[in-house]
Amino acid sequence: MSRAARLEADETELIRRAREGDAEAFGLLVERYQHRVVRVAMAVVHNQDDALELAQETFVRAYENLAKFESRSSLSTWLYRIAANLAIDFRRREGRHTVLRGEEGEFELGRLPSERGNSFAETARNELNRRLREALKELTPEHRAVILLREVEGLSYDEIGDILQCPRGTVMSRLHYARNRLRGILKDVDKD
Amino acid sequence: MASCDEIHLLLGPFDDGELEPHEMEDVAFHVVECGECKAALEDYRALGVALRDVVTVPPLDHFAQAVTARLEPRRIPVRVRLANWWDSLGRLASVIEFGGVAAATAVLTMLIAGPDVRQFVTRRDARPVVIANARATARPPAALASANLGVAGAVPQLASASGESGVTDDNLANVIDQGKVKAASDLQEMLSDLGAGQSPSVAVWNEPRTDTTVVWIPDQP
Repeated sequence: MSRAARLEADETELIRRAREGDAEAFGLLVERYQHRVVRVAMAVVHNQDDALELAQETFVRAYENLAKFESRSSLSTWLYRIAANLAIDFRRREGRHTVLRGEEGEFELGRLPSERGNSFAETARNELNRRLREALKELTPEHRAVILLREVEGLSYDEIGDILQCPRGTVMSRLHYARNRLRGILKDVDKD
Repeated sequence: MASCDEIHLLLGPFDDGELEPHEMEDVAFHVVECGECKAALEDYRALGVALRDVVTVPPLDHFAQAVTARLEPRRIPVRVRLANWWDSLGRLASVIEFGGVAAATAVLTMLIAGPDVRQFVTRRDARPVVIANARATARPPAALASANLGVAGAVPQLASASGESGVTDDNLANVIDQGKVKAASDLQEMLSDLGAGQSPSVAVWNEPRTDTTVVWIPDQP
């Protein structure tokens, strides 16, 4: 069976096999959802290494708890929820919702994908991205998660509420707050 | 018309398509006429584009392998395996339950509809013997007919006989009485045969229009 054909295999069947301990079947599920799970983790921790580690942990936890997975929600939503919870806990535990300081912060900023071009437009864009990253780090994990799940992942308010386990109204208010905070950053960059 | 403060709260959901239709309409009309809210909406849109540019996913070439490598040394916990086993047992139980319900339904159906079905099946091969007040030649039916019909069954035959041989009314009454007694004894004999299980089934009913009793007996093997 080709790789593409295997990826197309029925998800329910893959889940059933994974529940019985078939790591290969679970590997196919990982391949299917890895990008989105990493993006969710990135949305909260905004550090590639941490996000990758959290994404791996997400899948390991999912594998161990597949028996608890109920098909009422989709597997992707369930995985998002695990990833978001792990990442938010991680941020709280590590106290990293404040701006990174010192050498670590410089190192992280330096390795973020900022293709340094020569044009003025590219420079301005890089500056905007840098400021946005800084501003995102100042948001609480919940606000970061909400705005990035909406803007980057394109999830609906209901899906975000399902993942973060909060009411739709909370999603709306957090989004409003985060947008206004970040909008201020954009305006400052325009002024400069 | 709603104020800018009210509309401002709805700009994000408006751009996300998460408002009710009438709210979408309100915001759209307001934004067309209000430069400040229009600028805020454009800022939100630019912010979305910038955020998509900021958040990038690193290459995930060996990510799945790394995850499965972490899974290899892990055995599924006993608790989880028990839960899996319990789930599979539950699935098996549901199958058995379904089969049991189906079997019970079939048995009940047979019990309820059994006599009719049996009668229907038997009737196809049986040639019922209907005893009426006509002259019958078979012994049990004839006996039964004359017993139940009494005078009605005997009169035509006897009337004919009396008309030819000049039998008196007293003699005729005696003959009728004797016929009744004989028919009753024949009936008792036949019923005792039926009670002894020599017949598989029998149906007896009255025919009110002709005041007769009909006995249906399937062919004997």
